[in-house]
Amino acid sequence: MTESACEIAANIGSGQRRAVDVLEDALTRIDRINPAVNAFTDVTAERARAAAAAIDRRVAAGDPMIRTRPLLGVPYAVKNLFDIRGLPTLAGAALERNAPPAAADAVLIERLDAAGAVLVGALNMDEYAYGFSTENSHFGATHNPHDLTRIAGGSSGGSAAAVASGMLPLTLGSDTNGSIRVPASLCGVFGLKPTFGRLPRSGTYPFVHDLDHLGPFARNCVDLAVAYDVMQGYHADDASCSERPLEPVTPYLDLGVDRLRMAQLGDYFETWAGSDARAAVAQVAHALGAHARAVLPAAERARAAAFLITNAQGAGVHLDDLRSRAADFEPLSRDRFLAGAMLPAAWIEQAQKVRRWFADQAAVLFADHDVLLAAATPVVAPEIGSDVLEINGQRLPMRPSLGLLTQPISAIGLPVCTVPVHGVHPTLPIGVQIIAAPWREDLVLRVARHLERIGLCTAPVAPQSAVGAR
Amino acid sequence: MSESLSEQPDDHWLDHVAAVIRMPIAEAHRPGVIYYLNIATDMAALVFGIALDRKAQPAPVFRPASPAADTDAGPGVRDLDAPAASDS
Repeated sequence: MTESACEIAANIGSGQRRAVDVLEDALTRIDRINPAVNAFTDVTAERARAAAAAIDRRVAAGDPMIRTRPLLGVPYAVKNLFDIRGLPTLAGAALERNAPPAAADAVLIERLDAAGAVLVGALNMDEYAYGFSTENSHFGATHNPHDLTRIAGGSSGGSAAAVASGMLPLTLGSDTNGSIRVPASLCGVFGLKPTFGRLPRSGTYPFVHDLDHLGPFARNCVDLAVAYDVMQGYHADDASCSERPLEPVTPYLDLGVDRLRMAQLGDYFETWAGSDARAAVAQVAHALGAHARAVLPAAERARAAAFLITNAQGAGVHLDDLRSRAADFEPLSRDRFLAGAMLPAAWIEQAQKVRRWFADQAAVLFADHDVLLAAATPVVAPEIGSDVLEINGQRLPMRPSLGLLTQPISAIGLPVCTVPVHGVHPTLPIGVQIIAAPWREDLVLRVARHLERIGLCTAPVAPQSAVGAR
Repeated sequence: MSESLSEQPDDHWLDHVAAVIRMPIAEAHRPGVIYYLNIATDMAALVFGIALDRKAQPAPVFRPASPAADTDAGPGVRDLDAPAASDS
């Protein structure tokens, strides 16, 4: 599929295409491609067919309200930690297979559906979102559409792979420490992690209440921005959701970058970026004229704070199961969860104070800079099953280290758009984080859109030869 | 507090805490749990390596701070700069 979400909506709204035909095309692609990629854990075909048929009836009846919906008939899917009415919310865990079916959809699904989008399924992830690789022992690894021997990244690996492989134009994921930005980078698509508190998490399975964000993946910036705009708005069921008014970004996407003050993040963010990652940042910085360097002090300590808070709060969510059925957890994350349940409170309290301190340091930096740049992952996608990755001569454990460059940023809730860069590696993409001050999603998307328009950052569908589709 | 935060967690430490929180650790899981406790100890040393004011506030329900100053980010976005009352 090369058609964008907005093109699909326009074509259905004008009567040139029927929603049911768009949907059947998507279901056919899923049938053909998913066996090789393993992005989906559920396909909600019956629900989707009913929704698409209802759209077509209203369009045929000349209903003026339906035609203006910005995502009319756009097929999409969500990471399987989103509640989907009638399905158990798996959150990547075999432990949840027998959970009661969700009574209602997650709020963001309700909002996308209200914008005309058609939900077609649920997507694979690391168990309980605790991972960066989507090598799920219970539901299988999600394969990178650009090279099936490599990971898709995680924990929203299914969400990124479904878009990169062309199965769908739009998906949703979550990001606690990098789980939108890492798979977006490794799969070569656009991913938006909004400011913490911007999008309500109501109706999703929590990982770390203080750090969880939700956001979209797409293959172009306009689709990303439109989806983000229709999902904005306060919801009382999420205690951390901001009461800010709606702040649409789509009208500002094409304002360009002429007056923006931009800098590359140095120090920690260069130390832990491998050669491909640094080359990608250099290309983006050159294209933007972002020659200045900026330093976020003590980024490694902010990452440590995020690590501890994640470990403790994540374990707290699952304490009952850790006590009674630890053996049923994902082997790749079980021991981390068990350890997290034992951390002293004083460590977590200090980590929370450091996080606040680090946010203050970032605020100082944003007095002089509108946008900051950093690699999204230290390296391109590692092979499935790798235990080690090498960054500038240092060997590090692969799974936690993929989030080295994303964790300090999400620790303080900054908005980030990950943009894909192709060509610095012979076959694989890698992403760059476009970072702004809190609530300035408009800026990160403007910059991403500019990079897309000049042709530097694009997200072509992975070649079918790479996907290995039948 | 210095970077020499604590003893590295060991079997004794694990047994004691696991008993307190009533979370038995299977023999097969012990090496992995101690491995991750050691990583967490290193991370704790990092966060205690920052000298914070005694009155420093934690961020239990985190609201990111707004930028320190207004920006010259171009037309169409200035009206977005006014922070909400609950931002910080």
